[in-house]
Amino acid sequence: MSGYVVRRLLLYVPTLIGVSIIIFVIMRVIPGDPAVMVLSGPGGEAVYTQEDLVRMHRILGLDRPLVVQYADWMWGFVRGDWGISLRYNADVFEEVRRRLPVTAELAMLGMFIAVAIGLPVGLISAMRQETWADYVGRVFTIVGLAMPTFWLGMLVVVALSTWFNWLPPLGYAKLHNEPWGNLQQMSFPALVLGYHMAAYIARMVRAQMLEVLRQDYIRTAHAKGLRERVVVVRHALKNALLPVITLAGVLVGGLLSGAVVIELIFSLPGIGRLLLDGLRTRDFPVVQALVLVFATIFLMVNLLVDLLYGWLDPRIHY
Amino acid sequence: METGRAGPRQVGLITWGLGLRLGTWARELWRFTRRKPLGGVSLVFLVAMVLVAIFSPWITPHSPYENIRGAARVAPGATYWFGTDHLGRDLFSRVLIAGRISLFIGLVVMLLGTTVGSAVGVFSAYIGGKTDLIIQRIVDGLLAFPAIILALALMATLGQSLLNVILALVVVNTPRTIRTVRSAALSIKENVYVDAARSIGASNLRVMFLHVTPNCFAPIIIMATVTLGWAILAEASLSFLGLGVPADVPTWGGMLGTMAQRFMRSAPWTVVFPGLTLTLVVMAINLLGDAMRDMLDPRLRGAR
Repeated sequence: MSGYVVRRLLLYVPTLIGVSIIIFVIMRVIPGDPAVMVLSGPGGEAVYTQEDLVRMHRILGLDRPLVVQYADWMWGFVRGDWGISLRYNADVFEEVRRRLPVTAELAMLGMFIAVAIGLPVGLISAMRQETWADYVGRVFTIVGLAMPTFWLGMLVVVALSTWFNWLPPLGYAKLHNEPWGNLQQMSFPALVLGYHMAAYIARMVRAQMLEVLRQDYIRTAHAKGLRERVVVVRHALKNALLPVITLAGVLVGGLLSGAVVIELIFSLPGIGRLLLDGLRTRDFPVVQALVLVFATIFLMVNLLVDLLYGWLDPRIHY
Repeated sequence: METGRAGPRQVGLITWGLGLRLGTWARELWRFTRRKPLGGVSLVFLVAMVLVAIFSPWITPHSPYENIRGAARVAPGATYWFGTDHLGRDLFSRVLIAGRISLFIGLVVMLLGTTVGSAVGVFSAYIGGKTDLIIQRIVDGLLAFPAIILALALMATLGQSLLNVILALVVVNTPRTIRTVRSAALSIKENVYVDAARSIGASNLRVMFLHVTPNCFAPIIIMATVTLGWAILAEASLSFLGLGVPADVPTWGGMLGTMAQRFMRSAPWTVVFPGLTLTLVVMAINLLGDAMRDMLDPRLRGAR
């Protein structure tokens, strides 16, 4: 087991390097020239002279060999020097540090809601298969999987503003300054973000529970006279939840991309919003750093899930 | 029998054969609908949506592009079924036209992604060794990103166009197909019939395409339906965020973009109808996919 952990941790580093190379290639090689990207308008129209281009090359350090540029970027990234935003003239690292708590809180609340709703819905659906409770649960799941997060978010904003005269506030209430205001502001975005993932969880829990409930050891548990609750919780659920944990990777991917649209709709100042603004204005230091941050978080969670899975399932030996 | 031009007898035979083929198809379809009613209904709905999308330029009640004078943000009613948007364009017509682009992108991404993904997946598994290792490390790298985030970054650098949306979605989604098909092909290639084919001198290409690929059919079909639903949602997200197809091309996601957000409180119908259509289409694809998965994968039969 410990050997496996060490091997996985060692593999994590080359994967991250591979990821950073992919980002670098996308940002530097495909568009041909980031300087052109910076100088031209959003539609790609060119309004600059040759001297502008040469000057921009020097400012951005693009006149150096690609390998040097990559090494410079990576060395800077490791030290927390992520460059200066081209549009806001602000330090990218500082900006991310300031905004990260918003996104982290949104993601954690969303995850909490997803589990708190998805788990019972899936469980009840499986326990009461082919009853009205199951049908309600399945409709909840089917709708949740098909509904785009951004559309649900817009519907919620429209509904709240029409019936309760509520609008997404312009300012942001910080958690440690105004905990109550912050929770009010975060609850609806988190609910919207959580619903889609709750549907995933409910679907998986239901399928796994149905599978497990048909196993021989469940019949044995019933036969030796255990109470229903003990059979379900201790025998069935424990085994059914194992494969559900592998969903966490998918869910975190959804969480991170969901944060981008949710922060836009509910005007929350998180890193998803920062990434989107960076993408729209072609602010490549911001985009480059943030895509790497998103990928790092995503990889880290997947690594944790793999380790957790190995630790929880005694049948797996590495 | 003499060779050469087909006589009336041959033509008759071919027609009869074709009719039999269609009959079998219809019977298969009927059997599928009876066993999986939700899947059947979804299939009919999707076929109807595709037909509407194809013929939309001829069946829209109003022009989807014309700004009707003095009719900005009219609520849904007898004249404008879904109402009009902030520029006085008929929303019903726009939803129909938008279906063309959204479904087209979804279908192309599905076809391209599934074809390329299956070919690479089977190739990688069958050849094995260093080639497999290198391909799988590239796949690892691409799978290390949240898919939409990578697609957004690609769109920002490539620029907004229909072709680039398709390209970005294929790049971020195909690794998943490669991974799935590869693992299926790995077990298929251990079968005796693969050895048998090789021992009578079949070439590698022949074994890959005529023996391994057809036996990976179930996972390939399942990945295809998953890809279709995903691609339509992903395109909608990109266009919604203003990084999909150019803003003047109507798509379901694009119709919910910046302008709809600005006017969504005074004209909620501009938000409701494009999103509802999108949701229903994705729901139908998911239900159809589930039904097909149940039929194709005996291991999962009755599990959901």
